[in-house]
This record gives sequence, C-alpha cells and structure tokens, in this order.
Amino acid sequence: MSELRYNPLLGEWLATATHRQDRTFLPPAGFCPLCPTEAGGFPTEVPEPDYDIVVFENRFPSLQKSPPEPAVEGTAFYPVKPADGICEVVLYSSEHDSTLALQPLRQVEKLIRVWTDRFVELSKHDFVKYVFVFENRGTQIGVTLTHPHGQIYAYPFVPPLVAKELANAKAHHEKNGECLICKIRQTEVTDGRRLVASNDTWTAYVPFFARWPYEVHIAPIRHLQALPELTDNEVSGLARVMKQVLTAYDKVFDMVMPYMMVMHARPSDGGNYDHYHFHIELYPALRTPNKLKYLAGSETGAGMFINDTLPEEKAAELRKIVEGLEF
Amino acid sequence: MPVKSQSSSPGGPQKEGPRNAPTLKKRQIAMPDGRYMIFYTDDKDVAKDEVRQEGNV
Repeated sequence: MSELRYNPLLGEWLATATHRQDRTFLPPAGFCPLCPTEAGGFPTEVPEPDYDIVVFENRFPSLQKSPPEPAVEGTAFYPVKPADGICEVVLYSSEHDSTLALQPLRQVEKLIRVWTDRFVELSKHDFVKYVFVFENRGTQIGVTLTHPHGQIYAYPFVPPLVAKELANAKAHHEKNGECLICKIRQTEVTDGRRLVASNDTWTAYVPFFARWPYEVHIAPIRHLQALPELTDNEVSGLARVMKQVLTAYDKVFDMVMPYMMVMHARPSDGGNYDHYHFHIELYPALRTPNKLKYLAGSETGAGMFINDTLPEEKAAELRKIVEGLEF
Repeated sequence: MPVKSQSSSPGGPQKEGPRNAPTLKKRQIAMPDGRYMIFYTDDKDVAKDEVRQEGNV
C-alpha cells in the first residue's frame, strides 16, 4: 500500500509505502538483482548478459504512475492522495564491486547524459513537478543493494527542502539583484579556505554552513538551472570534479565512504526559476573512520544541525587529497 | 499518460552554447510486470578493462 498524507504541522506531504518492507535486503554474493543475468544463472532484474548503463522503474517504488487507492480515506483536515510519481533505478555499471568514483571519466560523462535524458523525459509528464536525482551509497545510509547505482524520484510536488531553497534564492534575488548560489560560490572562491576542487566550469567546496563533516557542494560557474542546459565542456568538467570529490572521500579514511549525493535543479512545473542555480550536494555519513554522524534529537526534532567539525579543516583534508590525484 | 508541452528551455532561457550533445543510444524494453527498462550506451563504449585500470588511481 502507498499513499501521500499531508502533515499540517509542517505543511508538507509524506509517503507511506508499506510494500517496501519486502524489498530485497543485502542479498548474498552471486544473487545481486542488479547484476546482468548470466547464461544458466539466476535471473536478475536485468535480463541480459551485460550492459553499459541501465535505467528501470523501481520494483518497490515509493511513488507510482498508477498508484493504488489510499489505504485510508482523507478528510479536509487530514488530506490523503494517491502516491503519484515515478521512481527509477540507475545502474552505473555492470561491475558489481565498482563504484561511481571508480568509473572512468568517459563513463561518468555518459552517466551525466543519462541523468540529463531522464530529467527531460520525466519532466514531460503532466503530474511530475520535480525530478530529483540522487544516490545513497553504503549500508550505513540504509542501502539494501551494494551494486553501484543511484535513483531518480519524479515527485508530484516540489519537495520541501528544495522549496525552501527556492524561496530563499528568490528572496535574495529580489533584495540584492543577484543569484544566491552564484554569491555563495563566488564567496567560497574568494575566501579559498573551503575549496576542494575546481576547473574552468565547476567549483567544489565545503560550504561555510556545512551541516555534515566533509559535506561538499558542487556548483557550475555559469548561472544555469538544470542538467539539460550544460554544454559539452560543462559535462566534462562536472565528470572530472565529481570523480575528484568522490575519490577523495574514499581516501579520507582509506575505506569506502558512505554518502548521500543529491542534485538540486529547478522544478519541472513550468514556472520561471531564473533566480535559481543548479548544484549538487554531498553528505558523507562518517565523521571518523568508526563514528557516524547521526541525525539525532536536535537535527531530527528541531531541524538544527550540529557539525562536530570545522568546515575549513575538513575542506583542507579533502583538497590535499584532490591535489594528489592524477586524472 | 498526459504530457506537458516541452519548451526548448523550460524554466529559463538558454544562456550560452549548445546543450550537451544527445550522443546516447537508447533501447527500451518492457519487463513482464509492465515496468520499463532502458539500456543506454554510446559510440564510446568503455571497455571493462579500462574501468578496472582507471579505477586503481
């Protein structure tokens, strides 16, 4: 069963998705449902012996094109809606033990073009108001399948965190006549202490206001709103800076860093969002090799993050690693 | 499924240069339960050996 329920306390929607309780959970080696199906082997989700990059509808979606009727009837006070939307899985590689950081630059570029194509295609649906590209990596994040993959959610509304960013970006633009994220990126470049990596089209930095240890934001130098606006040169630049940051993550503690990677683009609701600025945010979950950053009482119950580290120090660690990379 | 009319640059004007080139090849299949699956590749298919080699940096 799945449905959207409205939370009048926070003024936002949430989804129930009880069928997700039954999804595949950390299967043993040799039984990964995201690997290719080998001749005579167990049938995986992908019915072919090899693939490059694959996108498919999630077997256990939180949102669906033809969702079931809600399990409960809504009221004027407690509105309930069918969980309209689309949930896709993106397989980065057929290599089970690989990661996004380990992909060659050309493969990362190809993946960016796949994300772009999905953004365009999913945005065409009338009921889709926001296309959200993201990756959860690592069992510490709650990942149930370790094969290198990401996800795309096509929401029937603009999700609350993005809506808050959009509102702040609009207010800043109206007050100052400039893009908020252009201002943040330029401030980080001028200051320099929190820079992690950069090239002629992108800047990666630990923001002044980082909530997570090793949090990194990656923003294009050119003011643009979504992936389809990227030039070929910007696709190449993004692939390089993503690979630099993700490789640095895995070298910080000489172990695979669990992280969440999210893309914040303009909504797909037909509105004008020229004041907004596409960017990627990465939230690594570790603060030391054996200590997780938990979202505890203050973060979850009050919405105030407590960062146990200094962004300037964490950025310096990452920058030093990036400077030693040779791609 | 109703779809939106897609302008050339939804949400804002294109400000510079060409969009990233649509060099991908797509092949879509339907799975037995009705879900779609799309296979993407391009002319510059990356060899597995190259993946392993570059992965060691």
